[in-house]
Amino acid sequence: MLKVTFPHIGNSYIPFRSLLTELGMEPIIPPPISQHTIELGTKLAPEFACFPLKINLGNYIEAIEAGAELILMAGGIGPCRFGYYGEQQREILADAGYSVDFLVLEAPKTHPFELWEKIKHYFPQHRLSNLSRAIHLAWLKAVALDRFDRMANQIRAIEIVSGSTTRLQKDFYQQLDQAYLIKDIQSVINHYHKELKSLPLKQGVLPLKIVLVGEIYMVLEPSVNFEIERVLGEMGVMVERTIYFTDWVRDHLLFSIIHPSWNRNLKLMARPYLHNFIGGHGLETVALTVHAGVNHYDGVIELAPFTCMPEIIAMQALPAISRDLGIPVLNIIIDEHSGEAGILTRLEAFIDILQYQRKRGIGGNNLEAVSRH
Amino acid sequence: MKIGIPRALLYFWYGHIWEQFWLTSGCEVKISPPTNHQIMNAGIESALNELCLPIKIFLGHVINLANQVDWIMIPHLIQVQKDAFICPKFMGLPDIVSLAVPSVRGKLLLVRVDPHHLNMVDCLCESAKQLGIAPGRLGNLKDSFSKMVYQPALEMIHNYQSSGSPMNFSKLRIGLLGHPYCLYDACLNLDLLQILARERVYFYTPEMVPIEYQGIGSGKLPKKLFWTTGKMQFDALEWLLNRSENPVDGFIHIAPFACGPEAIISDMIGRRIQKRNKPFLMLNYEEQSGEAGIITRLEAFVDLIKYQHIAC
Repeated sequence: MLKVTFPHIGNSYIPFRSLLTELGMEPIIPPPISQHTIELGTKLAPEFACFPLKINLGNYIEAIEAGAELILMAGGIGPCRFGYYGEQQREILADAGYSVDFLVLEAPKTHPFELWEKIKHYFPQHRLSNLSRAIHLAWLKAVALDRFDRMANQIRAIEIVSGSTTRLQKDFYQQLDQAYLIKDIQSVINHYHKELKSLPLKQGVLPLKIVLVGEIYMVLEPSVNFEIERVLGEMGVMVERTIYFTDWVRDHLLFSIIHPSWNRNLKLMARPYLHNFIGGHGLETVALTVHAGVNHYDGVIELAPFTCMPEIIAMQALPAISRDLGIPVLNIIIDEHSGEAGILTRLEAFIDILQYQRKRGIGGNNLEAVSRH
Repeated sequence: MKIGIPRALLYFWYGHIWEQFWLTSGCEVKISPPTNHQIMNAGIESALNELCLPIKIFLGHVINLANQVDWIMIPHLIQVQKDAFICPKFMGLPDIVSLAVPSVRGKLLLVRVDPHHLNMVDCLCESAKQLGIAPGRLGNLKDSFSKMVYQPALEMIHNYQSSGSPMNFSKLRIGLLGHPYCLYDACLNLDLLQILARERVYFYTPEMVPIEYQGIGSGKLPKKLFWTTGKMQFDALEWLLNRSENPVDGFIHIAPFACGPEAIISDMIGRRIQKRNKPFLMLNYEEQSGEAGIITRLEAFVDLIKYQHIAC
């Protein structure tokens, strides 16, 4: 069987493993991202390439060492650099002496036939029925993961036994990864969702609510954002992550074809500060910060890799939104030199400010707090 | 009515078109002076730290013009070529300007060039309508205008290279690659072109690529590139690497610090140059760049290719 690998992004390796297995390939999951992975990637990548490109490279090399023969990567048509990652990574790996096939999957909207030709060429079981079954299975897992994460981010802030949500989350990932039949998958999902809902919770507390926006890779990949969701949750903060893998697939691969105005609301929300699409998640970052301000959240944290073009433009708008809508915003820029202690200190200071504001009655959630008590 | 045009970013491509258009439509035109330290520092102070130097310089020019004109023309260049952007920052430029320099918000005159309106003159006519100028008689000038693309840049090259008689030039030839606003802004690149002219080196830039070579180099890429300035650099590379007479001796790539597209372009260009065994120098500029450091590296590079030239 052809040994196939793909770069890590958050927990998406779980649905991808099912997808590839169902299509008759042997998935090689790169080892979890470590300092070593980052070093491998940084050594080969150009200095000012964004951080995700470097980590991807590290993933590839570790997967090639584990025997991978084909790399799967997504493409794009700009203006964000992500669209050209695949081509550049292919050249970098070839020049560094790695012999490996590289398959860049372009979006079905722009290159429908090319995509199908490529799938036919590489995948042994490429009949439509196999494909739809594989996608169904993977989608089931992806949706379950996102639903679990969404709930876990709410519950972690008010759990009584510190760390219980995170432990459950890890078990769930592992069990779901090992389930291959639809029946098993369903029972794993049901079991763990029930467990999560029955965790003992603190009563009568109103935790701070923070919206997490930014570049998709930095938001989704806990090993590069220093597990920001867990850290904030354990500080007693409810985190509302704005980017989920299934949402992204739905919006960009499906809605962009059948429902072209899917992002109309986002555009309207961003309008006072940003008038058009700027690539990546720049528009979303601006729109969702406005959303957080209007809906009286306590704060917004923006995550971006160093030199990310769309996020820099968004960053220029955030102080104005913060001033106009009275919402505190923290931006965190991450690259291979970021240290955990530095990020933690900034997060703690930010949370302290939010708590102080809440106490003085000028925090975002305050209106709600008054009406409840 | 007085219209201000910032001498920054793609002014070096479209400057003459913009100037002639507004003059023909009966406006007074004020072009900001070539970048100086005062302009650069004003821009740096107003902008977000993370922005790249060319955008900061553009903001400096906007501030410079603010009190002298009625309208400041902001080119909103989403696409100037089919299926290719320039850079996300050009797409957000009007918003960046109005957020960084709120005081000019009421004076901005946007010229939006997007996939549906790729012709610069049509887009200028649209903006002229905003000012109440009937564009009817301007439409006829389209052809004469479109010949003026790249003119500011080419004129500058001509000035540098004709400052001495042709006899003065040594036989050294260098390919200069980079964005126009890096190559032709003497304040940003610390007078790189002047230094090269002084060293009697003949240089080629992407704007000099003959029309029959346009689209050849970038067409050879395995995937269509989606940045116009990147495409031009690949075209220039193809042209310069395959010249039968007067081959170039080396390449210099100049980019602003932390430039997004250039991180990919310069790396891929560097690989291609290396495969052809040509010397390659990469210079990154930011607001703290020191002249001495750049000159030393440049002189060392020119010395290197001089010796290579003699040795061959």
